[in-house]
Amino acid sequence: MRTLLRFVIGLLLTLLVLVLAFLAGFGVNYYQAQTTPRTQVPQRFTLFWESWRIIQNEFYGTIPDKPTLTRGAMRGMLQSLGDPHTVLVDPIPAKQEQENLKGETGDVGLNLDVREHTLTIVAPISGSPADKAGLRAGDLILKINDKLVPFDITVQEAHNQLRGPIGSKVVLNVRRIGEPKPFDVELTREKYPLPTVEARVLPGTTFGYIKITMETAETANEFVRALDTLRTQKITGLVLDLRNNPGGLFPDPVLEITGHFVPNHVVLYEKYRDGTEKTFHARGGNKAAGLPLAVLINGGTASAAEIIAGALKDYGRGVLIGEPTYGKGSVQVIRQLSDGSALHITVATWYTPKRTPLDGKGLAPDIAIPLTDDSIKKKLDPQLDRAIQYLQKGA
Amino acid sequence: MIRKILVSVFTTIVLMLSIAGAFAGGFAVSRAVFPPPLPADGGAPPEWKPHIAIFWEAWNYVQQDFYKTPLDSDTLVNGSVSGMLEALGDPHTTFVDARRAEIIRSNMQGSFEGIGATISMREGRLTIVSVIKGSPAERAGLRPEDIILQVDGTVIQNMDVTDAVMLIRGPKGTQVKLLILRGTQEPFTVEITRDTIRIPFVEARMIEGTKIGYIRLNEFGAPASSEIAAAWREMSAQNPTGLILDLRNNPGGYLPAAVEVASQFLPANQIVLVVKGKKGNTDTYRAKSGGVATQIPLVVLIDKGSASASEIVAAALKDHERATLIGTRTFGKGSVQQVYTLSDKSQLNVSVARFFSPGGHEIEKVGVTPHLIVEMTEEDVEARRDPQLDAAIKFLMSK
Repeated sequence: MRTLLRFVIGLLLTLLVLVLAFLAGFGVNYYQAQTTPRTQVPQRFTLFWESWRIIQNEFYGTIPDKPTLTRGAMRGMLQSLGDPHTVLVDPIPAKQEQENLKGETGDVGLNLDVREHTLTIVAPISGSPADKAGLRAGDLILKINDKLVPFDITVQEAHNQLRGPIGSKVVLNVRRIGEPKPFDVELTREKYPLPTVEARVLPGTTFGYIKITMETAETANEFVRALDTLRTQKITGLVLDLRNNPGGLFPDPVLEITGHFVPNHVVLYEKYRDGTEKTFHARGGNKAAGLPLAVLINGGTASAAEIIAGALKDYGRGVLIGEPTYGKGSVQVIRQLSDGSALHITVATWYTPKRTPLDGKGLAPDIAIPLTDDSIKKKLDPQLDRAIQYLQKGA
Repeated sequence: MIRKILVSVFTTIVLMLSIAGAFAGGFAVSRAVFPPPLPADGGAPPEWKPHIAIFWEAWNYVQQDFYKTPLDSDTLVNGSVSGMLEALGDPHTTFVDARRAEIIRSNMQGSFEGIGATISMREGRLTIVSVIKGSPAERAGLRPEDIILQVDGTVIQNMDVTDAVMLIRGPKGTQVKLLILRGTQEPFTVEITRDTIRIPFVEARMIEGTKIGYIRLNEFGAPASSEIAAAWREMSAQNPTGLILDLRNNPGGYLPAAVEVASQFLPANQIVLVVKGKKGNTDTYRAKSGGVATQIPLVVLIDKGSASASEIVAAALKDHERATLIGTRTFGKGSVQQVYTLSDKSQLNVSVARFFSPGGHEIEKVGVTPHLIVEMTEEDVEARRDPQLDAAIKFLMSK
């Protein structure tokens, strides 16, 4: 009887020891798996090496060197994020980019974007060589100096190709929706930047007109000077033209300009992925106090310009007239990689004071007036006409 | 006494072994459940280690900074593989993820289980492009331009078209509920029982008022050749005096299917194509015996949409002076892709060889030039005219 009891106890103890040993083994691996300091590399990445081995053994053509393949893999990874503004900028252009900032470089004055792998004109900058040559928002650039634009071009690379010594020429091959064939446009590079604000009293009215072509460090000062001049001429209303304004410097010019219409109000929320928000307030100023306001927008109104339009709309300070804006409302951080290339990663998106997202869809006008090819040909501006009508009748 | 010591030593050894075994077992089970992370270089082969480091630098920044979370690492890995292949500069060497690969495989086999509607994503809405004749979709009254709003209650808007296809397909006999938007009507629900859908690769008919047969091949799927033979047998009752094989806008398909299709029109053992591999090795493919239409006067219609397998067949029939080619120059894709299935069922299409016509002509970038060039203009398409087909009929009538 006692022998049996001892046997059972012995057996149970043995089992217990075995279970503990099992758990210990389990735990040791678990601990290792959880605490190994690491790049978070998914197991599935082995697929990459599996593919590489097949290519190495079987691919018919010439295999480029490994740095080229690696760059391809990086591009592909970024592309899979589905965000056109998260891109890799190669080391050589990145260096050029810095040099371009130093020298006497000319530009043609195009704001560009890559949509569906095609280099697209967001807007020509008013008064720039591109504008004078008649390029338009939405035109697609197929070739630069007779060289096909590669499908994986980035906006930065394109700008590098368009820039060059002042007075030198660049030929663009352009496709325009509605035209049967692509055509060539020759542009002469000029000094950049250009003045960003134009103002006048609209003939036959008592209304002022201010066009902001883009936002630079000087823009707010130019704007204030223009507004002061107009006010000495006793204007009774204002048209703010933000059409084909691709944005530019943020936040200072934006907060300053907006502050002359809706002083100290919230202009923008910048929202990060962890849910945190940065809130931007308009500055003081209020130099446009009491002036009825019509704001002209179109598909070339992007980024910083959309922020101004969005805030004015949300507070009911101005009525938006024209066409829906572009919808570029995201913020990129630039990360330098160790080989000299740079990674632009979208880190946050923008929301108007009423929390309308600026990224993706763009702002809708309160009064929709399209600009047709016909009216461009006849040099008519039905959007501006509508703005004047609004200021005269209040509707 | 000694025996007792032996026994206890033995017991101790067994016990210790068991403990070690249990420990190892626990470790193994745990490893299966919590696999160790790959090393920081992603398990790179040694020769890659200095080069791939920059990739992980970028990867880490994306993980740390990118505004949308959570990131799907599967998608990132797929993108990385695709990007590496893109760097090879060969548009035909591609990566196809597991779900798309499955759809392509079943399409090329000529049958799958579903409802039989061709769909496409237009402006974020899943739109029916066409409905296969005799399919459950047709019986349920679905029409082109119908928009599918929901599948079994799942809202479809802005969904990847592959995901939508996977929702609609399913085993034969099961039911799927679609919420359909048609024109300005209120959306309505249609319940459809899935069935086996056959995708016909061949459309055949007699040209009205003539003794000329017409066979159009849409794609070189596995059953292409047997479908052509069947179509031919059906029309031969009417004693055709000429035949038109329409390969326009046929993007190609399986290489063996190309050899089989060519074999229907060529005497046995004639060379169909020569394939040259990367190490200079060549493979010669010859026509199989049993061709059904090796004698009848033949016109092959080609255009710039005729690619790959279409070019193989057109070039072989041209070089053997078996057919008269009418239309415009073909696409010019002369490379052979081997399909590799990767460990997760995704698919790698790799260009492994170039092919040449029996007369030794290169196809890549050159294409196949017709005997008789007949263009098809935009106006012809709009007016529903087909000058190429008309030229083929005229040519055969004059013989």
